[in-house]
Amino acid sequence: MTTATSLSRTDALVAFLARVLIAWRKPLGLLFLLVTVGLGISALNTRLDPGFNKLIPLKHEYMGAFLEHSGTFSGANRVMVSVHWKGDGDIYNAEFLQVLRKVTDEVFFIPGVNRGGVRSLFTPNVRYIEVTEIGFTGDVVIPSRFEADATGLAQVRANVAKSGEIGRLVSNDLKSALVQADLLEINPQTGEKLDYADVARKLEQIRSEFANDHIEIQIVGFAKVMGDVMDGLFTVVTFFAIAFVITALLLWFYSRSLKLTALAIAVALLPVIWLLGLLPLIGYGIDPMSVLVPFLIFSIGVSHAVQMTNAWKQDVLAGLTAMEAAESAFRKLAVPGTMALLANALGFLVIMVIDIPIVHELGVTACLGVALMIMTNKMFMPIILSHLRLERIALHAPIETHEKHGLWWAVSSLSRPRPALVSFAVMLVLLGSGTWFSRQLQTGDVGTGVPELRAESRYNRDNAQIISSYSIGMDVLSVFVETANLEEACLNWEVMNAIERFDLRMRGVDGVQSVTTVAGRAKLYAAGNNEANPRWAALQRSEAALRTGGRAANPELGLNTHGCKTIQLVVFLNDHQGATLKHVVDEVRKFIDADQTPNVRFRLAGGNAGVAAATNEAVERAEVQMLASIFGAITLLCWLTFRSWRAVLCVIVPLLLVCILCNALMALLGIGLKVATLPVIALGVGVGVDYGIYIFERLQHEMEHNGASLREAFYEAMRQRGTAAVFTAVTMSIGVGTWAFSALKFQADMGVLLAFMFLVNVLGAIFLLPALACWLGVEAQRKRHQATAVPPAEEGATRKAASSAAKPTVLTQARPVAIR
Amino acid sequence: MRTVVGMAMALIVALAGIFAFSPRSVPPLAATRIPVDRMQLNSILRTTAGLVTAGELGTILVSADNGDTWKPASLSAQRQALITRLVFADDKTGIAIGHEGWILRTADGGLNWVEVAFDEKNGEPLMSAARLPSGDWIAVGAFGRTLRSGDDGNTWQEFTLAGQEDWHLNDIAASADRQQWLIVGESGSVLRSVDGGKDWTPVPAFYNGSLYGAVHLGDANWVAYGMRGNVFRSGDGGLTWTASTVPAPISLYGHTLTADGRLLLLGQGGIVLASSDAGQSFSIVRKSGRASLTDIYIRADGSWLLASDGGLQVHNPAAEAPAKATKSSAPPQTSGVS
Repeated sequence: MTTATSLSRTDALVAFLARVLIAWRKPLGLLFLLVTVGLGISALNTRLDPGFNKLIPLKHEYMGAFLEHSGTFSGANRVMVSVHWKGDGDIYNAEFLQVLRKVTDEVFFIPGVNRGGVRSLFTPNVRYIEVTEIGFTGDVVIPSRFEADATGLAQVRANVAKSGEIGRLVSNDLKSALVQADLLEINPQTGEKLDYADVARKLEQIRSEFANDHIEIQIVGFAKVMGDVMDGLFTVVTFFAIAFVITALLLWFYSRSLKLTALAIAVALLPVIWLLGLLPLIGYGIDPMSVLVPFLIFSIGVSHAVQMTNAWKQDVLAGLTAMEAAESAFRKLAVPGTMALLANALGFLVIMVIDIPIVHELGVTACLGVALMIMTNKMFMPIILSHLRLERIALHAPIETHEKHGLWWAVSSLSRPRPALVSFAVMLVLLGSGTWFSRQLQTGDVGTGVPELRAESRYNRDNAQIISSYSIGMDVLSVFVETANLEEACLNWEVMNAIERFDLRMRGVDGVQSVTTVAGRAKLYAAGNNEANPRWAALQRSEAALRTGGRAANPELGLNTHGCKTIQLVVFLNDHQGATLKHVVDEVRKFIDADQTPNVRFRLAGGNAGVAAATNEAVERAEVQMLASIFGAITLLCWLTFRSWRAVLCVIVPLLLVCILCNALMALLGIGLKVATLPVIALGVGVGVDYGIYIFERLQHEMEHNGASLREAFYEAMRQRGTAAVFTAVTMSIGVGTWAFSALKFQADMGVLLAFMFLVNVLGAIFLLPALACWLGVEAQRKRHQATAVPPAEEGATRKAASSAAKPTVLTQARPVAIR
Repeated sequence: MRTVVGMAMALIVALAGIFAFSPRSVPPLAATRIPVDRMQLNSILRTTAGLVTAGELGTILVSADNGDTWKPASLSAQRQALITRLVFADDKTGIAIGHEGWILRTADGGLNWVEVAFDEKNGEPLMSAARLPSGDWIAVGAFGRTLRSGDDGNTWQEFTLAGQEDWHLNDIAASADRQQWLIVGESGSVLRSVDGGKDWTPVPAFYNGSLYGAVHLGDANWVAYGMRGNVFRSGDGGLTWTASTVPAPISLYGHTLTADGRLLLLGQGGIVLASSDAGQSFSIVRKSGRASLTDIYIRADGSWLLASDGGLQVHNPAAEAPAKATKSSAPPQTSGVS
């Protein structure tokens, strides 16, 4: 049989490696230590690497237009500081205007701010225009020799009213005023990349400096979001500490050995240190998403460390020396452990099909972490174990029981046909309701405000306040118009008419708040040139007439480039929920498809809503790809391991059920399918398949080598592997479950969902797998199989001996955990 | 046999998985509509077809349910030009005039329109029109342009009025008996006719800004209104004019007379002014938003439909009167006044 020979060949290789490892343990150990110290020092250089472009699905067609034009049109990276007057009356008083002037100055001097573009009542680019019988007059809103007396204030009040800035720079209720500034990704003075943390810090300083009983400061903008996200990252460290302590306690309960607990934790930390050390070397930073990888690596590391220490302890208890036991543990676990880690790595690899750099990096970082874990766990760990002496308390040999383990024996009855039907019944109920709810899952963000942060966060409260008091939208979809063969496209009626039609059509689209286009502006200017008479607000065919509104096409207004080679159409949306984005983008597409204007090309899409729409499309596309690849890969892996389609089904079916349930949970919790939650399924499946593989492997082993009945075999599998599986699931769920308390919404979402996946996958493996094994006829197949093949008796017998010696230890000591 | 059950289970889960992960439909949003509440509208009136309004990009809309829902009218040619005014001679026959000399004619109250004039080269807008007692139509517009139609609006020719200059002409107004007529325009231009529009004479200048409209208040009383809060009244059929007292310096673009005889003037900043003393003094009866109001239709239930450059607005004067009293303590709203 090819399986048997290939297995033994692998065994020989593993045995050889084990011998080499132990023989070279001193130099290798030293090498590992040096590497750890070196990478530990390098880890100190780990930097935070947020950045707008990392969140963008760069290959999406919308993003082609976005990347091409977003540099030209500012506004995507804008910060707004709202100074709110809490005292009596409105903003026209000396104290408020004084503060507003100072805040304007402070914002002006923030590094990275495009100084010419700063706008507030105090900046020279904010002017009022007045139409009188004799023509236009206009000036800055706050005169240069302004005095805050009654006449001065009345003057400012009148000027502001004429400036048309109410609703824009001044709130509709006249209780607050804005300072707007655009940030440049590259600081023109120093040529350095914009330091978001620094900008956010400066903005927070403004808040603390000027906020008092009368004044409240609200700040919004991408830079502030990034600042708050980075602050949130540091709270994550606290969760790491909590997860660390809980894991340590669980480990101690499980092993009853301080040394083994410390060892397992230290070895689980090693890949984390190595990973953090390697990241700066390969030019990666930590971003809000990949910061979660260390948790995950730590959790997975602990579970694998537990297996290794366990195997070692069993051998030590059986009378081997520490060194022999370490070699034997390596031999036993090298293949299944590496297999399991490869399955994990596969889960992480599959994430990379999502075409968004931040997720790519998450995949790369996680894969790297798992690869490192194979080194630390499978090589460094045995070296340490070979030097270890077990404490007396852990050496205390427990009483050998011949009674059956009550809980697992009861569970094993699920492998009998009738109880299995109960399993199926429960499964069908879960499947039915899960499928029903999973259909209600939405793509994209479900709430309002900035999705990275929680709804009740300071930022989102500021955001809500600003949206409600000003007439400005925060959710912007930009459509780019590229013109060709025209000197001055904005003086071409066909072009302007196409834009005007777009403007009118979009205003009738549900989900659109307002539309700003150069055509709309040109009409206002045309009316303005005719005493503001609204009956003049139109675009006429002749170039001379279009010229009257031509000042609207000033590139400084940010709606078009010079000569209108590119024109930006700005659509403000009510919100950025997936349904809204999809609807509006579809309507824009319909317009574009129907439009026949010569020399004009409409292109989607920019603005935060454009990015979100592209992201949602990328996520939806990636979902199917990702699921297909992960299930395909795992099916293959299972087939290679078990060489039986029955086994494949026994492992895959529970996984698929859990995936459906996970989607249903997301719909029920109001979590949308987005960049942060899409990888969860892949991670959950990659990690969750371990349980099924481990349990089925034992089950198959018991039936093949010991001729056990299905129930006996499943009972043995549960006795030997079930407790460890439950322990692993609980440890890992706690590790990721602590994220649920993160200040960052997407981390909380990921934490909850991953904890669910880890926990429920083990339940699927325990309760559904035996029922499937029973009704898929695994037993009958094995019997036929055994009749034709000669079992490799010798190997089976030794394995049996080793495992039966070890079994009671695992069993009795693990019981407290398992029962909880 | 046993295997079949297991296979069936696996198959059910697989199918459920395919169904669960197949593309999900999003909750549908409302279908795209004509944004009647967000588009520029310059006229609103009632005909046999119902309410008719028109404006941005040559849109003409008809509502059969008193303004709740609107349907586009059928146009023989869509020139995408702004329609500045709808004028009906009776409740069936009317014309729509707009930029680029565009004139459309309807004979069924506004459901179907036929283009009768359009001038691609000369983009100037027509601003007002009327059917004179003689049955001739006249239309006036930018740069003193005047047109006449002798066949009930089917064809149009240029003609000249006595004393006409090239100031923009904004409005044609008639008395109830259709004998006294005024044409008002830019730079205080007023042309006057007392013989049903046959002969016109210029009125001596009394104001150097634009007049956007005029309204007859019975006998020889007239009111003319224009930019920046300038309202004038005349008690001698439009020969001499005195300035009225106006509480807001806003430009005024439209008017109506209520059933109880008040004069309402509409203008910038969503403001409606009312006068109960034949135009001598005005008070603010409505102030909301930033839009410039252009026309008004008062429905049977007393609510107002206001056409504006920001769309059709519904205002209920009865319901909002008490709210206004409490609001007066709030800081004065100056938004949109220019």
